[in-house]
Amino acid sequence: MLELTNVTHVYANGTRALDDVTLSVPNGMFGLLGPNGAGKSTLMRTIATLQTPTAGTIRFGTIDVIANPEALRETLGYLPQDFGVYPRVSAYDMLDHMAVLKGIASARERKETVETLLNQTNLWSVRKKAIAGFSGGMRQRFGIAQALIGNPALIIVDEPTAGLDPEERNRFLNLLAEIGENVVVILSTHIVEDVADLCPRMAVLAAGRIQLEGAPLDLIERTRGNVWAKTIGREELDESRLRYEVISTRLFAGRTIIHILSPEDPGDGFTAARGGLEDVYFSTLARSRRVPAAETPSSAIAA
Amino acid sequence: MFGQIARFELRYQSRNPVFWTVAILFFLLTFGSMTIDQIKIGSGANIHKNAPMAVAQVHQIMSIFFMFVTTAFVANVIVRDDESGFGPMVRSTRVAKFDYLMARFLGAFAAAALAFAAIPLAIWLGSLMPWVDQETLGPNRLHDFAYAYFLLALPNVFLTAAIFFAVATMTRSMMYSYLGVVVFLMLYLALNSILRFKPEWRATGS
Repeated sequence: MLELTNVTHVYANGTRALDDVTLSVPNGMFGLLGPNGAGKSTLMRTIATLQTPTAGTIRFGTIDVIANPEALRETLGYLPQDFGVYPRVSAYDMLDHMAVLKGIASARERKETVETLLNQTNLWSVRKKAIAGFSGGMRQRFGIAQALIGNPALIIVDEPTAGLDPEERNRFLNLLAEIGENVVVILSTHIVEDVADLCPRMAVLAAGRIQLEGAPLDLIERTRGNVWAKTIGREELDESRLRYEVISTRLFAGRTIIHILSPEDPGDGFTAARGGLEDVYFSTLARSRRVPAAETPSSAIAA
Repeated sequence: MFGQIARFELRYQSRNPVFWTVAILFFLLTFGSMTIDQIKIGSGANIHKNAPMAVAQVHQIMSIFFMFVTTAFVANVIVRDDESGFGPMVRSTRVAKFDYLMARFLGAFAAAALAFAAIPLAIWLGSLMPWVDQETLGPNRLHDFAYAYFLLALPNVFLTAAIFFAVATMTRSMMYSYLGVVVFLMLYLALNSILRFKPEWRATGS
């Protein structure tokens, strides 16, 4: 169980990347959804002990993460957003080196760990090739392999599917799904399907704040009856934006499908949307934009 | 843990093209000085080309130029993680700062020492070449080479490795590390030439 209480982070230039984030993450896969620049990576880096928040506490089980980051690192697996690798080092050697850094001292144990992970991530056939030459998907699979070394109890994966083709993305999500249910896995992403496919629990982070938290199915249930869809021509879009609260627009066969938020049937050719996680996400974002706009023009938020 | 990290570092450095380029370059230069009249390293006094004094002098002169190479190795240790983008992964592991820095330093120093071994090797091989005038050669004695390599060259390599490792750690930049080498080299040469003309300062200067 990972517990964050009132975590706030203000960068030196005054950017408030995290604003009073309170979150408790149970065992299992937890999806952290948010647009680019919402503060997801800042939150991930903070939990991964790479930076200390300006205020707030983070506890993982009995570990006070901020006071004692070394204790968390012993049981942490972290896959950063777009990481790089050393040139001319093979997947096998790099994993072996990471196993050393993660404190697996015995050579036999390391060999076992590395070989198991190479098989699990389907990299066995390319284990002697330089990682620098890997494709995006292979590189991410290497990333998750190194995160899994030493059976961590907390696994953080930051935007792992960005830039993967659909097949590679599927393969990667399958890998994540295999991770045991007795560990905490935090998956940060801006892709709604990642969360919908994998996570029994989720939160939406926007503008540095947690906007929504819960189980995707409950959340979808809650928006049902509030979201309406209509197919319109491109030229009608501006008018619709004025009249309704449009949460998303999508092109389909050259026409635009708009989704709007409305407590009752707006008529005018709208039909009830089937309601998916995407509607939940976009209505949350629409709401979050409305609130700060009413207060003060919010400052830009860095990732 | 310490040994494993150092070994990884040594392996990494010795696969770097820089390692081989430098080793071959220094080999050829030294080999040339032994076998071709046009290349001379050191005073070229009327002594055997592989006399203990000549071997020692080549080692000393080369170890000064080798500063740039040593710096390339040890600064790479520091700069590599941030430059490659692999740093965040490393920093989220439990490895202690001491192990991480010192083991890698040792690995990089070992790589520099290994590359420097091209110089004694070149002297020895050069002295065996059939076209070299036998009059200018004496017997090759292992302990002359060992003395020059272990007691003259390696301490120099180690000292400069440590100094420029510190510079790289503080500046986190390859550029500033090289700048440090240039400044260091100029100070060294200036000090040397001043001391040559002011013998009375020698006690303080050295």
